[in-house]
Amino acid sequence: MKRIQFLSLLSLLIVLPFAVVTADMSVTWVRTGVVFETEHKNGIEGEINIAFETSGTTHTSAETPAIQQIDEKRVLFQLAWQPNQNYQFHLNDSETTATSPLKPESCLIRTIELDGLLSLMENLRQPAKPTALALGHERTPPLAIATDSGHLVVLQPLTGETLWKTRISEGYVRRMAFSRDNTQLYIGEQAADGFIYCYDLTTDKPALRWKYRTADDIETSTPSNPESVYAWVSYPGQSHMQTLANGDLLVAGVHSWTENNTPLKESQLYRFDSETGNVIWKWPREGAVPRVIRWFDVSGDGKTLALVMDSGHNLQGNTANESNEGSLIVLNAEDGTVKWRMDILPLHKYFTQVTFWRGVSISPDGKFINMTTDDGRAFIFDVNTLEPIWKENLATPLEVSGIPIIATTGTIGATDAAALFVTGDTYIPYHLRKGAQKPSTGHPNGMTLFAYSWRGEKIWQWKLENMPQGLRIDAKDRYAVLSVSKRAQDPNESLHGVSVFDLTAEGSSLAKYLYTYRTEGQLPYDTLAISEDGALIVLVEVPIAMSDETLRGKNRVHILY
Amino acid sequence: MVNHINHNNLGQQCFWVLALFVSVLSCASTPKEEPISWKVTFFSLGAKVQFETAAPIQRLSAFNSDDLMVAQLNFPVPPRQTESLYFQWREAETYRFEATLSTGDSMVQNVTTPRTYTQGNLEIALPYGAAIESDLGNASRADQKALVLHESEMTATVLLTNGNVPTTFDLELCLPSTVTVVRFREEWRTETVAAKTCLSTTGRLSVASEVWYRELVLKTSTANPSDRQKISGTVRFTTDAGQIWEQQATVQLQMATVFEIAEHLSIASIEMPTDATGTVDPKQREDTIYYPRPLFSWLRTPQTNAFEPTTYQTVRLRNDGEETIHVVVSSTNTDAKSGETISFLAPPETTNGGMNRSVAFASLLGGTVTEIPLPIYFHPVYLNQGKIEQAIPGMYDREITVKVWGSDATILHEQRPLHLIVPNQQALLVSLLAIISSCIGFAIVLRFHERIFARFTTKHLIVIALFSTTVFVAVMVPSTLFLNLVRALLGPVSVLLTGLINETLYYALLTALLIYINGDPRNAETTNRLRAKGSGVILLVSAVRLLLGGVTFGLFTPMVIVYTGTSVLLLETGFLLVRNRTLLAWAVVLGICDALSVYVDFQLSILFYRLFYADWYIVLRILIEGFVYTFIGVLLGARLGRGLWRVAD
Repeated sequence: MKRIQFLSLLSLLIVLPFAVVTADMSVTWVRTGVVFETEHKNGIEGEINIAFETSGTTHTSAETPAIQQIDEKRVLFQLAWQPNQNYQFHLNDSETTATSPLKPESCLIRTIELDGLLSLMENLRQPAKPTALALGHERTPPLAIATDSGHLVVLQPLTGETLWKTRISEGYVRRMAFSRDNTQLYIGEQAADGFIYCYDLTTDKPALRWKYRTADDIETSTPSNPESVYAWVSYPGQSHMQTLANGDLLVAGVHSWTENNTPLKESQLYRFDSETGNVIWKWPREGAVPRVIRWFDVSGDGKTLALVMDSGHNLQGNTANESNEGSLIVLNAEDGTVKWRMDILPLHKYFTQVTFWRGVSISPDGKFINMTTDDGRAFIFDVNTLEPIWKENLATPLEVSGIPIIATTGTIGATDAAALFVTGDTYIPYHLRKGAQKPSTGHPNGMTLFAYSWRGEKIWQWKLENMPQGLRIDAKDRYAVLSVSKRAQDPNESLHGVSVFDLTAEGSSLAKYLYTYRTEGQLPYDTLAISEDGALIVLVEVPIAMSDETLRGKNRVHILY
Repeated sequence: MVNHINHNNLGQQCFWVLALFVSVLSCASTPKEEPISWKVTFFSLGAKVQFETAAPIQRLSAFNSDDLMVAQLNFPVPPRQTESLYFQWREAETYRFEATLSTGDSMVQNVTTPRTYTQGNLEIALPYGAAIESDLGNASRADQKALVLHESEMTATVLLTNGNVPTTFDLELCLPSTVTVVRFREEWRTETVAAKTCLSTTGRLSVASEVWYRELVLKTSTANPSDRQKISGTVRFTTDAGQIWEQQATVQLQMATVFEIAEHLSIASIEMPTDATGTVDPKQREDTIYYPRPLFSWLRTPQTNAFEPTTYQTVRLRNDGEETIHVVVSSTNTDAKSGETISFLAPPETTNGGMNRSVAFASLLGGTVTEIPLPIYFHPVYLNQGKIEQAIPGMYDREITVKVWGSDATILHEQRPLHLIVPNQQALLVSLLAIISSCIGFAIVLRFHERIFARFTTKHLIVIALFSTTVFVAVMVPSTLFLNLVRALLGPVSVLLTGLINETLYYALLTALLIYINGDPRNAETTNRLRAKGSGVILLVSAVRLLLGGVTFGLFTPMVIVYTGTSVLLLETGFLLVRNRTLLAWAVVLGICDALSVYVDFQLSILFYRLFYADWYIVLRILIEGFVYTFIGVLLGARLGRGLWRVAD
């Protein structure tokens, strides 16, 4: 009996302190500080003390780090920690020592399930899908998510609290944006009227402040089969929406439909007064242009705007009166006048027309523009010069046995220091065979993130592990987040997640690459956001169907540091 | 009291044992080895971890020799077969890799990096995509085999991948005497050394992992099969600090003629329509696309998604050889007469880089049959030189070609028809006519039914009812009960058997009844004595048959009513025309009328059920079942009818 008592006491004395320490405290080194997880509840802000060790000497941190409570057990100390350094954390009577890693880690703040929140399963025959996501501005930005059936929710991402939940319309919510002070939410629908709504978020119950019917400019249409899952494509909608520093809203209204078997397109660019909803200017002034404005970007000061437009993805070439060229147009964003226009000729043999995806971006300082075409060409322009400074056949066809091997090139971004181009997977030929092996047909420059200086010198590049689904850069030009996802033939071998890069890190791409946060399910295109200060990353996950007809992943939002 | 003490002791023992148990549990979280097999290899950007089986791993971490975490991966789902941990490693340093399982247990491996690591990579892809990357495992030399065709042009792609630092490179490629370079960029320098052509070039790779690639079009000439032909390449990377890395690659050329490859390779089958996984739908008409064109131009063509294939064809390729053959299989839809590509049957232009064909790649393993589904697109409305035009139904060709991947020479070629069919206007017109006629006939019967019945005596009506019931029992019951079984056993030729009952027996009984009621056309006496005042026998027999069939078997569908109405109209009209003529005339006319009824039945099925029949089957049923069996039935029935008449007399 005594032996047992002695053995037990000895074991408890030796093991339990370690067990308590390891179970009670954990430290996660994130990009903007340290997430401290403890069993202690509330009121820890005043008791935390951080010290770090250099050359064997312990220094107490001179400045008190800002503290953000994540939940009952976790707090974020906003701290610019240095890699490979010992840190001591004093909390109440306990002390934790940890060595910082070489690179930060991801830290999931929370996931928010969307099925119930957005009534995704309201129509079981055709479940709704999250289609638009917007993250507000400043340090505690609100988050808005909406679906193709018009449901919308505004959340506080850090707490998960639902601020507002409604159904805007029966239509497809295509674009959303918050005003710079987060007091207004702009919503663009792709529906028969193509409305742009502005909601005031300052009142207890958000109220409609103004709305604008884009169908008055770009016409409306009725799909031949309104019940079809593709019916929304034929309605007027918005290809892009962006708010300016002074609160004004820029919107590209686009309508592409078929009438009497004739493909038709109408596009109009607007600048709205955020307070009144009045149109400050329209481009073109004389009325909608019979082409598709694919995308636009505006400089940080809101003075220069660059847009790309084409004649649409026609099946067998264009109608006689349509242009085969793609256009880059630079506008004075203050009055909507054209500064200059550049028409890009088709890359013949394999392409008879020029089309774009999200192929234009402008540096925040408004000095340079980068652009890509769907045929694999990349360009850099000085914002004041018509001729490109640099152009490169980044992913143009590589011919094997008469088959062109091309990679998609539509995802791009810009910082003051660099132009970012992201190439995707090969889309020719189609991968249709079941089970069998095939030779690799990836373009040598496919699935790669390229960074070029604005002079056209390659600065770094990074090979992606799956198809890009969107690129976002924070307002400080420091962090770039890139989501990668695509269901492969073997879904167990496909990676879905978001890769984070520190664009300011010195050295090669390996130094800039921080981590990849992985998800179970797929990531739809464009449902990714990063907060202005780069601290928060938000991404939407949707389930993926496995070969045994089970689902992997959920309809949910991941909020992470 | 003793008991109480014992209880206390027991309680104390339990407490201390529990405490020991807690201690042991606390220790349980310490790492321990698990039998999951995993292997770590280093590459220029970090380490690749290869798992032999699906491992329930939640986290993978790498630590350097100072126990500093250098990389970490969290897995919400089991990891892929090979996962990459990205970090900058130092040569000859031991790294600790820790895999945390979903159970909370950990596995640890200590792996030391190579003392010297040759960075960069050279790949000679002949054809592109079939090479083995030499960088994995830092192999300094990579060998691969390439199947090349005699007297044929092939595209080789040379790819260089930079290491971690900016470098300049010197690349040299040497080709055997049997291989000549047909097309290459000006930057290449060529020289001939000992019957070998060597190409060289230099360049700079300014960033880590940068890829440099060039295409070379090569042509092979006849060589002695015993000669070892190979293309070898050497690249020397020089860093700005003067460090040099050299990588080599070799491609063994396996020469073969088109005939030799075709000997091992064959098209086992080409099936259409199939789904995207290659499964055939036997209910669909072979080699056919159904174009649901509106019958009238004012009805709009239904909107289709032009980027979605309308159907697929599946090519099954057999490789009887031992080596894997990389092929590209393509299919072009052409006009059967002019051979020109059909725009409305081509893949969408903007999604296939201007090609007018569907393409798939395949690596055909030796001794296997590989299924390759190819999409077929159909655009009911399309643009032709800027003008909107409608697709034209008709017969087109599918040209299926198989090429060795990388070569332009066609190894196998097959042609198959492609029928583009539209709703059958003939079926619509015939069916409309049948429906209208049946309605008019039905209205007449309703209007004049008293007059029709007045033509017959009670005796006649009883005999007609008796015969109708006999027809139902002798013809309809076996036909309905055993038709499906006979069809299952005999397939489309089952009509030859079922027709004997449906047609021959039916018309024999009907003819007997007609002779009994109307008299024998060969015997004037009988006709004068017993002839009914008008027609209506066939109408009454068919009506009873229809009613009995409807009540007993539920065969009371609109299509059966229309068919019966048309059949009655045709037979009554035919009989009216020939009832005073010879039996041979009866047989011919009733045979023609029944053949027409069978034809109407086909058109109704085509229209209402959207069924498609082979032409021979239609001809078989109309001629044999419709005419010949009826003809025989009428002649046999005449004998029976005369006998009956004599008995009645």
